[in-house]
Amino acid sequence: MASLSPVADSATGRSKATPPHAERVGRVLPFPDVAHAELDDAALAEILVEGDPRALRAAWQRFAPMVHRMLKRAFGPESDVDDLVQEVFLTLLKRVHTLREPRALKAFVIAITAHMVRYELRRRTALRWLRFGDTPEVAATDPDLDSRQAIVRLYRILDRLGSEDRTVFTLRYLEGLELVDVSQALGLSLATTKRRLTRAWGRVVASASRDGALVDYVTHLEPGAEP
Amino acid sequence: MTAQERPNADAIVDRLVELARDAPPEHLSAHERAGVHRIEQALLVRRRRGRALRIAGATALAAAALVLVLVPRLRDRPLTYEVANATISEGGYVATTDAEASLRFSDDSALEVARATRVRVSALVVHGARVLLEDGMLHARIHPAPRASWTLDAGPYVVHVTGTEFDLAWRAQDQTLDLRLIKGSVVVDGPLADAGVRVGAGQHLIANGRAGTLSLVDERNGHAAPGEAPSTIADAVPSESPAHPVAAPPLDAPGAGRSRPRVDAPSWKGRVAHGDFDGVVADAERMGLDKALAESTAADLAALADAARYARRQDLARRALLASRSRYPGSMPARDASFFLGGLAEGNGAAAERDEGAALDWYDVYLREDPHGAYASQALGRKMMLVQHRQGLDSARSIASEYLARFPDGPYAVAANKLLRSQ
Repeated sequence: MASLSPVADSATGRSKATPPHAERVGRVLPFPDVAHAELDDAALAEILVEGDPRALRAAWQRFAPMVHRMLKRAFGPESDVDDLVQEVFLTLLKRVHTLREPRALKAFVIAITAHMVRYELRRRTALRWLRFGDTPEVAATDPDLDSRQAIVRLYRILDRLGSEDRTVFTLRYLEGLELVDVSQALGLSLATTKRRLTRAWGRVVASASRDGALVDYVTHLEPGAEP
Repeated sequence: MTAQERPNADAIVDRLVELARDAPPEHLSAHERAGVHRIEQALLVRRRRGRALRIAGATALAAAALVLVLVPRLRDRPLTYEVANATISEGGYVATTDAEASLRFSDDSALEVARATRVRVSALVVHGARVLLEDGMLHARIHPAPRASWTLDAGPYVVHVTGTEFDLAWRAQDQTLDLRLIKGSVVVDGPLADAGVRVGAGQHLIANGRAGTLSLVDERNGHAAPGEAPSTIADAVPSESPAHPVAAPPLDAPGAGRSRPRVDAPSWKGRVAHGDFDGVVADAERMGLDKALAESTAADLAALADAARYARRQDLARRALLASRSRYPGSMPARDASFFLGGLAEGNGAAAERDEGAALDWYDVYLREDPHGAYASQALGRKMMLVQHRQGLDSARSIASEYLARFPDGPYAVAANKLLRSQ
């Protein structure tokens, strides 16, 4: 009888027993039909509504990288977003029939992802409250930061924003959406979006400027700076 | 690098944001690409769970439908009842023993049946029962319910009940119904109550089918004189056959001595107000007239006088009025008594009893003792008429002028004007 070796589950981080030949056997990933892959957003939306069994794979191929990237940018490159991605696509399948303009499928997926970001941020905030803990303060000095550490410190700063402000900040600056797209994705007025964005930016700037290590790190990235 | 050469704060955040934007790889890893399979599995699980839920839902619906079908059938079953201290014979007859019996119904209603009472549960329906009280007394506590329908038959009377508590006695020997409401209300049908008489809490209905009398007294507003309050409901019912105590509920009748409030017997005044004139006179006679006249309160003497006058017992009325004046001089009943004594002296239509001189004297007494009393206009008017009759127009004119001056709209104003105009 073959022995089982523990490997880490990427989704949960917990160990689980896996047959040793799993790596060798691998998993066959069927590609979607070329015909479906070439569908435009409107046609893809229609077959999603119709419940075509191949529609999910076509949508996944088209939007999964974008959704992954959005969520990674929202929660940090080190964060595990697989479950959130799955929830985004399950929500898409569940609510695609409410899409009034099939051509706006991409915007629809962005909106779902934006709401997922906001929901998850609220959930994490609530969990912090329940644990009676807050995001630990970033160490005042850490002279030898690399880019990965700098990004982690940036996300620590973002963790201290409210979920609404952080969602707006993420979509506008990290994801690079236009202001009007941010407001549409979150169902907010343009004025409210601007107000939240200004507030979030000001807080991030204030926090970042107090972090000497971050300031030094960015300073040394400037052209002409001494190594 | 000097402080001046450092980038400003906005530029720092701009640079950090740029780093963060570029951090995620452009392409998905193999694991991330396999995410679609996890979604498909999740969908499969959800579909299975949905199917299980639908099956469970269908099962629950079927169970609910079964309940909806069965519950009304169960609910539509007639009431049942249990009996304590008695046996049930065919036809629902309750044979009581020496102790009081108790009937407990499945809707929480209860009947406490006095010993020697003949009662029968003649019908059981979904929301009530029909009970025949052949003779005796019971205490009923009917559980209030939206569609409760209880009926108690007592001789020719039918008591319709929804939810209430009351004592009910029926004495077949003298055809007397005695109903005392403790809570709620009932409607009684029967002789003299063809359209139904509503009896409310605190009210006491006594009906005598043989004599054709029916009185309803609100006992919350009335009170019995000390020493006169009957000790039981049955005692409050005038019995024409005291020799048949079997019909009279015992002193330890159901309900007696329990925590429910005791309701006093109706006062004579109350009974007179409800037309029970003969009953009041009979009560006084049962007490002994001398004793009644000597010991009754001023109010009861006045009520007895009224009852006697209405029952055309002029002699007793006169005695009661005189007793009132002698025992309670100066009181309002005593002052009023002089006016009524004047009326009695006029004979109230009976020429043989007419004593105009005495009547004039009593009217003068009244007008002197209570010139602004309730009967002043009538006393002066009667005096005017008597003087005209006895002494002529001239003597009466001055009284007529006085009358019109004092009571221009009084009942004798027309007569006074006519008298003044006549020559």
